[in-house]
Order: sequence, then C-alpha cells, then structure tokens
Amino acid sequence: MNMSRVDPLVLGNVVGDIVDPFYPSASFKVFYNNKEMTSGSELKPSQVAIEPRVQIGGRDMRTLYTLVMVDPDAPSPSNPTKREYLHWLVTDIPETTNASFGNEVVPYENPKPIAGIHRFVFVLFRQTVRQTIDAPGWRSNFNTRDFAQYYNLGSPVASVFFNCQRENGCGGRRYR
Amino acid sequence: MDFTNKVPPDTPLPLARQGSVYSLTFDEFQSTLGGGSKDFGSMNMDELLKSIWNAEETQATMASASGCGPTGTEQQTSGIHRQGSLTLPRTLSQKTVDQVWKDIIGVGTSTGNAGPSSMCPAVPVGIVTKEEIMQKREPTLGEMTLEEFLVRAGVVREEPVPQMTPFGVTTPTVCENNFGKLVGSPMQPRPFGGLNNGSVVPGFVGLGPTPVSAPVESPVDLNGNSSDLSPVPVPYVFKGLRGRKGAATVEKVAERRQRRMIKNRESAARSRARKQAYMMELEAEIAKLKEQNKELQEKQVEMMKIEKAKVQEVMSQQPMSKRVCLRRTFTGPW
Repeated sequence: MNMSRVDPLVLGNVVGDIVDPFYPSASFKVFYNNKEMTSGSELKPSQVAIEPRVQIGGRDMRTLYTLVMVDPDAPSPSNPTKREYLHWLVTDIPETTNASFGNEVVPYENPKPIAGIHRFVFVLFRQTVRQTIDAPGWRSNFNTRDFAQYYNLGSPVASVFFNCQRENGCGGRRYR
Repeated sequence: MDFTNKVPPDTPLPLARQGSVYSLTFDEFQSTLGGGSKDFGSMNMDELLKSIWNAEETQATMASASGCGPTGTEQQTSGIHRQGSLTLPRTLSQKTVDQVWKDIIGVGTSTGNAGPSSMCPAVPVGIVTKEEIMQKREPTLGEMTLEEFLVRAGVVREEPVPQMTPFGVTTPTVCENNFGKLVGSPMQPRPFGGLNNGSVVPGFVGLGPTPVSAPVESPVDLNGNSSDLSPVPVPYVFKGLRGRKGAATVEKVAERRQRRMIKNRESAARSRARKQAYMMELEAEIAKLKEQNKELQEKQVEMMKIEKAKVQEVMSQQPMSKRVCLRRTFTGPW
C-alpha cells in the first residue's frame, strides 16, 4: 500500500472519523456487480443495492476476518448525527474466501443517502480466534473503534470506501 | 463605492480593482499624478478637485476600456460632472489644501478655526511653522484618503445630495459598491438605496435598498479594512423582509448567512478532499497496474524463450527418427 503520499483514506477522512491510523496488513477487494470497486470512487445507489462480493486476499485459510461496513455521514455529511450507520457486519470470514463464507451478524442494508454525498466505508479486522459477535441493538451511532476494542479485534488491517449520493438530484441545498 | 484602501479578501475577481480615486490617499494620488504637483498643500482646493476629476476621468476611460463594471461605466462617464466650484463652498474654494487640512485637524466642528489640539493656539492660520505642519501632516494628510479629506473639509456632505451621485457612481465596479458603499461608506447612505436598484448586477441575490444598514457601521471606517464581506454583508436583505427590518431581523439574517457560508465552505473542503483522495487512489492503481503489466510482459518473454529452447531441443532430437520414418512406400493410392 502506498503510504508515501497521503493515503486516500486519510484524505477522505476515513482515518480520523472512523478509524485511527493503521498499517494495512491484509488485502481485500470489493466487487459490486462483478466489477471491482476502486476506493474513493463514486457509485450510485442502484449499483450498490445488492450485497457485494468481498474477496479476502492471502493464503492461509485458517485466519478469520471480520468485516464492518458503515456510513459515517448519516443522515447528512454536514450534520452526521447518526454517525456511524451500520450497514453490514460479517464475522469469521476465512482468508482467501469471500464474505458469503462468513457469519452475517447484521444483514446488508443497501445505501440510500438522502442528503449530501456520503462515504461508505468497509473496514476489515483480523480475528485472533473464532469468536461470537453480537449484533448491536440498532444500526445508528455504531462506533467502529469501540466495537473493535470490545471484541479485541485490534487495529484494522485494511479499509476501502466509496462515495454515494442520491440518484435523482437535490440531495443538495437545504436552506438553514 | 468601496472606499477602503484594500481590496476585500473575499470579493470575486471582477471586484479586484480598487474603487476609485477617492480611496487613494494623498500620497498615492500624488504619485499617480507622477509627482506633477509637488505639494498639494499649497494647491487650491479648486485645483485639487480638478486634478481629482482628471484622475477619475482617466480611470474611467481605463475602466471602460478594460470592460469592467457592467453598468458603472456608462454612468461613470456621464457622472463625472465638472461640478467645479458648485460643490465647493465659497469659503473653501479659495483656501489651499494646507489651510483646510489645518482646519480639519484642528477642529471637530467649524472650519476656519485654528485648533487647539497640537497647535499653538495663539498662532493664526497659515503661519504655523512648516515643521510642525510637516510633522502633523506627514503621517496624516499624506495618508488620509482623498474622500475623507473632502468629507472633513466640508466639501462633501454626508447628507443625501444629488451632487453626491457622481461620487458613488464613479467606481467602475458597481458590484463592489453594493457591499462597500452601503456598509462602509459615509458619504452616500441614502441615495444609494435608490441607486442600487438600478445598478445591481443581477448576480447578487436579493439585494434591495437597505438604508438601515448604513448607520449600523461607523461612517469613518474608511481607512480600516474592508471587512464588509467577511462578517456577513449586512445589506443583504431577503425579499420577504423588504418592509420589516428591525435590528433583530437583520441580525438573524446575517447570522443565517454566516452559517450558510461556513457550511458551504466545509462542503467545498469535503468535496476537494474527496476529489483528491480519488485521484491518489487512481494514481496508485495505475502504478500498480503498470508494474504488473511490466512483470507479465517480462514473464511472457521468458516463457517464449523457454518454449523456443524446448522446441529446438525437440527438433534436434527428431532428425534421427524422422529419417527413418521418411521412407515411404511408393504404392500410395494417390
């Protein structure tokens, strides 16, 4: 991973808003509609309506991963009172496979941004053991940092994100 | 007309030009004339005004040539009236700038009295030592803007007078006027209410006549920075509030605008960050792909070589057995 220039995650404020700075030690790819998602790109709600294929790279099938997908800009980037909104939570994903092999603790909810341009962030944690993770009571105001700490997941090992805004205009200005 | 010396930092580009000659200080004005008149001090007020008008005209022609200020230019050329001694009270026109200046710094109210402040009261006007004047004046008159001088001299009044219009209209960029003149200008609070309507550049939203705003700002805010834009531009009035401007509403409006501006800024910053982040990511990916491509190409070359070698090996072994096989029967059907 290219850390010499400013990392896109830092620029996009993912580092800071959701996670603390970390060293990526795993790789994963997200495929929406069989097309690889480039971190930082913009996708339409229609394109992300269906759960993506999240492929974890590597070689050792014994290592397990937890995947978190959150929206830190809910309900709107200028007023993120629901930060972070949990869209998906999958645990026990074996390395080299994809998320469908894991345990879906919180089912995928497709992004439906109303106001502004939201970031949707995937964060990957490496589990030390196979563990049971409970679903939170609600999706709003999820805190990835606290979550990781509570379940001893340590620092994230990888992260990507994409931007998404309302399909038909006027996610923009509201006076006041 | 923006009577401040500096360009407001937030104004869009077309407003970057300085307002008018009036916002120049004596020093600057002098230098623009190429040091033609060595010392304004001994110049008559009449002459002073004439030279100012000259300078304005040249500025007007320059302005119209450069094409800035949609409505201002036409008005400008017509607006520079040779008011001549019409605007100058009798008492003033014959005085020299020096004398008027002394009057100004000496007195707050009446012109013509020698002031007590830092001058020897016993000495009649005109005979104060040159050094004293220089000391007093150098840091002050030279730095004073023309307009302020004129105001103080009583040449220009602060009440709405029809003759005032030339001053306001002379600025080449009318847009700037709408902010600057209403907020920071002492000279034309009221007439500009009316003037604005005609000369408002359509780009400005909802700018209506707001005479109320003028008294809000201190009139002698000329030499100060033009902060009229950085705190919220007070003259902005929404269409709905046309008739009912209390101080509270104006404040609220201002506050709302301020908040909006902040939000907009944040949004813009986020947008830029987004763009940059994506750009970085793409570049990184390009680099990665190029690398990959290079490797694959090299690999392919290698593979070709190996294959070639293999084939050659096979070929060199073949000949023996082939010769054996080449013996054919001649009794083939064809």
